[in-house]
Amino acid sequence: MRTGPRRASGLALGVLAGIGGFVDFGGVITSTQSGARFHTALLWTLLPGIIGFAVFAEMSGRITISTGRTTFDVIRDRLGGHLALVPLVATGLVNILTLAVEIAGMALAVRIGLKLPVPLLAALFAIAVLVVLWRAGFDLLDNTAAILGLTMLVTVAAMIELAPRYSHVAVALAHPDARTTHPAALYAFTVVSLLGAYMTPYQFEFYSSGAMEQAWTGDDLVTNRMSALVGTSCGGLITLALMVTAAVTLFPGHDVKTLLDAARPTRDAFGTAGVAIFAFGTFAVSAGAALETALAGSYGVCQFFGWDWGKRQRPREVPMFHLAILLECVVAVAVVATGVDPIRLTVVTMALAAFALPFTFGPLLIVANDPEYVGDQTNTRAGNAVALVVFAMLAVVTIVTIPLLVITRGGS
Amino acid sequence: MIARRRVELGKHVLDKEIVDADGLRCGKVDDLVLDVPDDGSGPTVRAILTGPLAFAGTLGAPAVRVARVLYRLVGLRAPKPVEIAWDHVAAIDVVVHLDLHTADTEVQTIADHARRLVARVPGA
Repeated sequence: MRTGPRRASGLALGVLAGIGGFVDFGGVITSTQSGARFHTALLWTLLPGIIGFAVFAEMSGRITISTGRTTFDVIRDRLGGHLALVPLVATGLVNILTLAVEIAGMALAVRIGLKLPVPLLAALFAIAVLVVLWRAGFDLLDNTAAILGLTMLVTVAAMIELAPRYSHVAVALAHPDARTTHPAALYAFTVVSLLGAYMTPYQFEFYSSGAMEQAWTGDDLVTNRMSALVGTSCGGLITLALMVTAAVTLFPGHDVKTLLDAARPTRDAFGTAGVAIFAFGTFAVSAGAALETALAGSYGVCQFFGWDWGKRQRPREVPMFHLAILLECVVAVAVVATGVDPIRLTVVTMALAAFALPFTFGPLLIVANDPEYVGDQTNTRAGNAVALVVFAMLAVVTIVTIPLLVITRGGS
Repeated sequence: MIARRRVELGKHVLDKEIVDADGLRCGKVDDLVLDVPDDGSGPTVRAILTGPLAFAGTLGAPAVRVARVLYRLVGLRAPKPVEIAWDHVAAIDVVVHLDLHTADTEVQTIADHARRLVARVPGA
């Protein structure tokens, strides 16, 4: 039997994964930038994004619950060590870049009010991430970040205040607008970057290992499905608002070059208070995502090499887990400290995130169809049909990402 | 007569989790060592190799160099791949069970060294 609070905390995990996934610093930047550059012409990406996210999250959650084992454990088991190295390295590199992006996001959010150098702030926040991951329990960390991240709902309020033409929004959600889709390469690159921001690899690793941390069982399969849905809908609504408000205020002629540009819609709606709430919300979702990303990276490595891992145990019981987190944070800060433009880093990282997705999605799809692993919880025929479409979409994205990165010179 | 179960080394042993007698996870089966006697009798499985260095060894020299950096980080200057004698395998199901208590052994070399570093931090 499942008690209410337990279900609620399970749902919180899903909602956080949804909000943290859709709306982290990567999401804030890519969504506002696409609104500023292409008006509502990219709103249609939300639907495939939401479907892809839900399918990916539900499948990795179900595999973990039904096997009692985690993503990289089963991937290595099924593919063998050498082949499994491909998803491990691809997601590992993307995780470190994503961590750099989220830490830079925390720094930029604070810089709106306090003009300190980005590398200094980034180093401080990386230390803060380390301390929190050292001390705080999983549930506390999970729930706090989820609740604070809800401040990003301010963008939904801003959308209501700015009153876009909702009929136009509804049309744009289902139909790409051909008039505002030029230049084509930049448009295509932005699609890739948005998809990577919706579905960043860390979320799925965090979500499925998080289910382990909370010791989900067969009874939680329903919660698993529910939270994949509720979480993505919440995150999707915020993303929609970010894009639409940016389209209303910034299009045409204004680009998102700084976080302050991204905050302009909320400023137009609610003045300085709006900017303050937006900055706080951005900080919260970036912090939540930074914690999740650091955990996800370490989960993956430990599961691959078979070391004990987790927030449930004391650090000395899981030394490699904490060592991996430390290394990730050091490298992430080093990336930020190179002085690379954080906005550009964000957009490129999100594109690379999209690039890396099929390397884990593919193996998981194989495992989810293998009764030797998941027993009677294999994919349904309909589930497989949707999953194959998602996989095909991700595969196309992977093929075009690198050429597009070169042609658009990193989406600038 | 003892019932026998067919175990395929590649499918059922390689890349599996190793769990010790206390239920602690202590790495993966990264490689296997066969004994091939000179006297013409058949080869037998001698040991399990485990740890990042053992895994890197299956990939080649560049990977071994990367693994050595990792060991140096935790203060191990001359690491060797960890060998677990096959006699210590107690059972094989979805994981490989050992009859050892790894706290008394060197099975988790890298984790044990990392533990010494981690344990110095307050709150560990």
